[in-house]
Amino acid sequence: MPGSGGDGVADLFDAGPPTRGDPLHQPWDPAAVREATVSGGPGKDGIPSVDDPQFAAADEVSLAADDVVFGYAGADDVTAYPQSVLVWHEVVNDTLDGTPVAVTYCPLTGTAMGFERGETTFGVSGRLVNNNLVLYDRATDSRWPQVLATAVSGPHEGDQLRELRLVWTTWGRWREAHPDTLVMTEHTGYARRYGSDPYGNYNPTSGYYAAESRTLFPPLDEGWRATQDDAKRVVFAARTADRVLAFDRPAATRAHLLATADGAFVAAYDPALDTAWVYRAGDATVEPSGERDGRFRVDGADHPATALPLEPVYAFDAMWHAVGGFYPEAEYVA
Amino acid sequence: MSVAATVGYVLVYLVAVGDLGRASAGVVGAGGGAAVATTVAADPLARALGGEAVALVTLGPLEVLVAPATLGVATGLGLLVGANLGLSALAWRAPAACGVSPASGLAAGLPALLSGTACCGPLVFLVLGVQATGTALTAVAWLRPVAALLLAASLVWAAWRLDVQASAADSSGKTLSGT
Repeated sequence: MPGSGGDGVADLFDAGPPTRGDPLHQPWDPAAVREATVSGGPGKDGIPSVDDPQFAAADEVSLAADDVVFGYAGADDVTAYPQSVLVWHEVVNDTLDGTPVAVTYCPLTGTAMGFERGETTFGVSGRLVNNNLVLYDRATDSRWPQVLATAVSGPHEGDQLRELRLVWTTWGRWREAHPDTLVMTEHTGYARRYGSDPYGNYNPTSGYYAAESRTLFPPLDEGWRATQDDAKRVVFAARTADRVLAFDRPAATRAHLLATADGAFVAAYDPALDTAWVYRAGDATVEPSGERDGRFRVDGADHPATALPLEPVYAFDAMWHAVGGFYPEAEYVA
Repeated sequence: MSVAATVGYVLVYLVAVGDLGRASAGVVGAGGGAAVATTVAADPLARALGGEAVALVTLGPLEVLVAPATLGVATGLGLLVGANLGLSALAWRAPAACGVSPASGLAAGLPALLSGTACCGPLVFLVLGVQATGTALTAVAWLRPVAALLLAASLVWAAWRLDVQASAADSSGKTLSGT
């Protein structure tokens, strides 16, 4: 795998983004994904990425408390990317904690995902598959459907991206948790009506984002309807090498802790950020603390949802149709 | 009336494609809250050549994107609508006029209003509540040229009818004066 190890073979693939060594489950033959890819309307880079993002301090911005932001909290950098800006660009090529990354967002699948990009940058190909943004890297023009995080064409076909967690939350919650956060501004180099969302509204939820509304393009697979018919139901999705999990967001909000049927994985709800953190539970006993305050008891000791003493699993918010369409074998946990 | 129709069509077109609408407060800077403000894109010439907006202008409660390509299309279609309306009105006032209606000229401009696209997909499908297909996407791509062709055809039709009626009236007058 290019970029995944220190062997000399990796040098042959040094163009393009760094790719991961441990595989993610990917059920589709790349040719089938290519076949199902459609034009989204605008051409390549018709939706322009932001390659020189600008930032401001929290007290310099006028976001409403309920506005959606995608937050990153790392060792050095704490940054919020407003959904109202990302909906017009879908990709922000940035550097976080010294690592070149792409912050990506697809409005049609409700997915905000971060990827390492190495020396290259990502752009919007103008193509969609399963309603999901297909990225391309500017070094090799390989095509990467965002949710699959796997190249389906180009020199990197079959390779998978290294991911970094973004938290889908509201500005009020993010600012409360991270008062020192920076915020990406509207100074993108482009003229856009950033206050208007062409698809709908998250504050309150309406339009394309509303519950029970239909998808814009036909999904890759429709078997998911038998489990949960609401295409826009939000889930916390997690993939491993051999499993795909979809933790029902409303259920997680109510119960605070969701576990797979075999108990191997848990989603711990974090009320401060209104998100969940997924872990491989192994043989540990995990339960919410009595106060339901975002703390959990693991083998008798309390820990915050963000830092359970378990193996974390990358997770992201997604509309159910996106997870079910890409992964027909996804396990729905509610 | 033709000028008003042209201006009206341009405004409706800009609303339909999402370039004109209610101003928002903005995230930071960018003229948020100001009565009159302009935000110019970086490298506006390159943006203009690429079909992009070069500026966002806020006028009190309204904001408008200045995208030369979009404004060009809107103005071209608007002029055709205005000419149609003017010619149709002329024909309508003519005593022997028939078969020329101002409505047909206006109707010809409608397809272009449906062609507004943004982000991942043509928004007309969201408005209509239907799923996009390859065929439908192709159809959307043809909406603007189809509107232009319909407007041009409507204009030619109206002009031809007027010409026929004028000739008929002219020859009728000659006959009368000759008796």
